[in-house]
Amino acid sequence: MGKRITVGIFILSLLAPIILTDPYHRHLMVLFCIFAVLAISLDITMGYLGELPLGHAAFFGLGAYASALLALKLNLSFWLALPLSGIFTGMIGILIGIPSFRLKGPYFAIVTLGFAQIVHLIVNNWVSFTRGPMGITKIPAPRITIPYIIDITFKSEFSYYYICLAMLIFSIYITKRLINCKTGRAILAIRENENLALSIGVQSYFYKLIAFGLGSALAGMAGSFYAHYFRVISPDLVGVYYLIGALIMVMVGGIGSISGVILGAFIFTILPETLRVLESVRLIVFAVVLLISITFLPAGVIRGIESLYFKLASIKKL
Amino acid sequence: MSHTPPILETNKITRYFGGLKALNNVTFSLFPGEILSVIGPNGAGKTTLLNVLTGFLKPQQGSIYYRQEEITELKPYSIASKGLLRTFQQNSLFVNLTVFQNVLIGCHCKMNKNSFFNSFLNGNSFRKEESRFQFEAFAILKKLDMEDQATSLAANLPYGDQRKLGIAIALAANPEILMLDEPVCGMNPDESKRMMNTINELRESGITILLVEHDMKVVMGISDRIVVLNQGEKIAEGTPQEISKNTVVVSVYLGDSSFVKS
Repeated sequence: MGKRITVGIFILSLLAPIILTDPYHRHLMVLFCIFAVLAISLDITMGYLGELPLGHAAFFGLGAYASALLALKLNLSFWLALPLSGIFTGMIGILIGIPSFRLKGPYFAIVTLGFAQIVHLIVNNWVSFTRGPMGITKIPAPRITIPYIIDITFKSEFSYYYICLAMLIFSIYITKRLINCKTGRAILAIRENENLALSIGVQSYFYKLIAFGLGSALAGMAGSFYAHYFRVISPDLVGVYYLIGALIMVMVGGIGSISGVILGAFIFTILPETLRVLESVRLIVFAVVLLISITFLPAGVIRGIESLYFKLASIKKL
Repeated sequence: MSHTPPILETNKITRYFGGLKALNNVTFSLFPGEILSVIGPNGAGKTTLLNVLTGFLKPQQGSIYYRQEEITELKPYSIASKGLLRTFQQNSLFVNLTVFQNVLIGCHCKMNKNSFFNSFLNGNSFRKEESRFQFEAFAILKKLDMEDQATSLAANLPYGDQRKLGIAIALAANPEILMLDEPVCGMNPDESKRMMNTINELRESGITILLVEHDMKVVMGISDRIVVLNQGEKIAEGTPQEISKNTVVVSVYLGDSSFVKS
């Protein structure tokens, strides 16, 4: 997409909360970063491995709960709870992947959805541990304290935005490094032609688990950021809204494209806010958006923008 | 050639599909450096044999030995990493990737230092390894006269070039044995001739070739030995001369005179 555009967008993202000082706008920026990480995490399995994990966003909610419980029950700081919840959801992802990847396509999709429902049931009903429908409150905000030198608590939208942005940049970096190495190429190969990949020595089952585990770990860390920002979480986080939301981000934005899914996260963040009046029918609106997008821009909005750009560029040449 | 040990041996391979015996007690050997063709009418079991040899199907009876080591129960990716590579007749490419990416993926087994962890650190050794393999992939494309198509999508290649790309991918994996599944299928005589030359060059570079083919001109022109299958059974084995005079074989290919070496 051009190095200059990338640098421009990076500078813009650094300046955004300085340009837009309204707390509400900054709040949306935080949400956007968290959802962008979630979208990237889903795209690893959907875009690069080529499977449809309907239940993927359950790892998002699971990570939120893991991080909250680590912070509250073991008194861990956010900076420890974050990677630990990532490792936790990554391992759960691999455990769920082991039976799920015996299947493909729609069967794989439904099995992952089933696991997501199981996670939701556990979170909702294990009241003694997760407080069930009452949710978890008073989740501590991230804090850095070095006596006499620093004492920052990341409570405001402004400060939280920058740690979320760091996470987003980290996620983009990881994804790019994945694609440009042996592991990422193997994953793409499995998507394109699993038998051919097997015939040249790719251990497909192993790489499917790696892709899925990495995606679930990233989703879990996005969930951790969510938990320590809102500092209140409920079983809804493991619910249908986020399952569908994640899918919308990837499919509407552009499957298999980092800028595409980030654009999808942007749309998903902005959409409910611009359609405040339709709050009660949000899921229906999502369904309509999804249908329109699949019908007219099946490769995602980003590809529509790219082809428009190329068309304009070629018209300019005439 | 009969004094050197075979590089590949099959012993009484039998494979059923329900009530149908696709392969029945098939036994033969492949010797290093030779080009062995497996021929037979449609339904003779040639592709099934290829699938069994490369681990995509397990035989119900029989065994396969690669360099005197049994590989019958191994998975396809293990067999490939040992140096036994194959091409596919259909669905043979990584369709939505470029020609270059296709070949680069073929190098998978040889890449030991290009792991995700190393990529994450993006150190000098990783970058050196990456350029090394990119260079190797490009060299393979050059060998097959495909370097100009490096950035084309595999899906957009003309048919003959798609078959070449399939071979390029297998070549990237450093084969000792290369099993080709009907490499000249659908090619015109010009393309077939060029493919024959390519296969000869591969043999000269030290690769043992097992060729499954229908095109008798190619088979007769290039093979050191031929194995003939019919309805799952081996009915003949020998040099092209011997096979062309074999009455059983001729009757199976009833009336097909293109079969006799001109």
